[in-house]
Amino acid sequence: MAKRRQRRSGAGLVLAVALGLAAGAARAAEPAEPVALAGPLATAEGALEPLDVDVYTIEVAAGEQLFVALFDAQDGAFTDTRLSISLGGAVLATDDDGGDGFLSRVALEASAGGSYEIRISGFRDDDFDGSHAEGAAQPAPYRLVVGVGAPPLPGESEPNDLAGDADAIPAGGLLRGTLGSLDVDRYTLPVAAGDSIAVSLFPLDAATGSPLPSAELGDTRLGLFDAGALFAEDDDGGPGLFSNLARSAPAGASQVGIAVTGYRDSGYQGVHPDGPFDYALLVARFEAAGALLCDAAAPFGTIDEADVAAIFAARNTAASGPDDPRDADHDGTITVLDASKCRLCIGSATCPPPPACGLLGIEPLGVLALLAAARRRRSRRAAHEAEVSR
Amino acid sequence: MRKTMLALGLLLALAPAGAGAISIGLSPALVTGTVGVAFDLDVVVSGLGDAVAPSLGSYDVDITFDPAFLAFNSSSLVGALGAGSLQSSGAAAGVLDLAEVSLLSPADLDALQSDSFVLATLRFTPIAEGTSSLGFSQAIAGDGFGAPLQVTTGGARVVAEGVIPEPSALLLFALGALAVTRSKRGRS
Repeated sequence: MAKRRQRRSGAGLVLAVALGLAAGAARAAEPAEPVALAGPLATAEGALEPLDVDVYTIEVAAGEQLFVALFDAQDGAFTDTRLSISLGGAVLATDDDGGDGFLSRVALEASAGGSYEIRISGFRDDDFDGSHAEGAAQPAPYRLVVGVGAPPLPGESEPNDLAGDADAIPAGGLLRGTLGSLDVDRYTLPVAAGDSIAVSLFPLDAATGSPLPSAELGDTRLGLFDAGALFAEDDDGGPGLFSNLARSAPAGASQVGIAVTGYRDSGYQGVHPDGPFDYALLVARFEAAGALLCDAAAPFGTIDEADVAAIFAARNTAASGPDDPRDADHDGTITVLDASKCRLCIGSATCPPPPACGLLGIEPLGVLALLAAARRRRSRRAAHEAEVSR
Repeated sequence: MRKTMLALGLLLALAPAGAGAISIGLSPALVTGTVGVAFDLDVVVSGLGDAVAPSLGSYDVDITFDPAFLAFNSSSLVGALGAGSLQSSGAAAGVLDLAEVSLLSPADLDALQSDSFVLATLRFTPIAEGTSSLGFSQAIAGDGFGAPLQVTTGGARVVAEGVIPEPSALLLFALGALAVTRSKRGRS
């Protein structure tokens, strides 16, 4: 939960004080903010409470595209958020209900490089000063997905209308697709038991590939499938008429299918006249609580050489967050040392930290030897004293 | 006996769980070469245990060189971390990146490795006369368990001399043919 109390002024102060009193003194411990995220795909989980604004940062180079989406952490859409993106104190974009239900989403193309700040607050908090009541009854959890990509984004591969032709979601979680009439675009993502996935569609300018501020040009339907069976779908989750949703993967699912089609096509057969229009698809996987450390690449559930290879390939990059399974030593950076630690878990369904070789640099063998010597000394002394007393 | 046990215990207890610093360096440290003539440099690790821990389970080094002076030709990782190790090498803008992760167990690594061995062989060609240095801008190394090892690095210096003019093969062939012809004429 990333929260920080903000300075407030003016009319917001009255509301803020009132909400603060209502919220009481009990507040969950907060990490230092802003919380630094690292691309190309970063996820974070937090919770909103009155008076709090959560702040995240991510490095974006000039010309790169930044996609930010908020999801309900409990497969719902009732957390009511407001979202802003700023650079150097200048607010570049804000959104209220662009996402699923009352959640927020926004995308932009960076005209300048730098550390972009993402602020998350309650929907009433126009000024992002914490004047909101979201989470007053109990903390309102959310999930944040942030994608950064340099255009052109990886493209879909047509034909992908049938499940058997589905495109794999790239490692960065971002790709560009074009939906035409009679067209269905299908994708697939490996999942493990207990995972949930978050999927967002953003409108792109067909000519430039840049995110569009308005999403009224296309009307999509988004479906999530398990072995061909639809288990969740969304029509106008937003922004505009675009779709997005987040759901837990069904028990036993190892792959989740994602289908993008026109909003009239309830059967996902391509029966729609919509398009052509371009979209960016942002997909993230949230691992189950206690997710397996080192389990960085498909197939998930067991640590194998593919996981070590994925960590090795990502070396010398920042971890996407504290839960990044590639950062085995939790130092914030993925290195060969993480790959080396994880190789010890190949073939295992769990990956505990390497066995401790000593406490504070003291070898257990040495401690045992000392204890044995002391015991032997005590017993000899006891024998000697018994002999003397006799 | 008691004193021996106590001394042994103290020795083992106070011995650091981790290892001391290891060295990763370039060999030879001084190369005298010729412009246009390739030479080899070995990347050598030393300071490890000899068939005992600490062994080298992973490394990631960046070797810097002056691309105006040296052309990088190739690198060959010799697989010192065991069969099937994950390897990567590549050079760009005067930086050569070498990385490798062993897939062997710590015990197998200990058994495989001596205290000093070659990690990779690099081939460069001097492209200009003068003196230039190669050094390390990054050196990460881990033991068999993935714990970091303290690393000291040692670079190399390359002194390149100008091209020694040599007669071309064609000229040599022509001279030889001329000599044979003259010799035949002399006999006749």
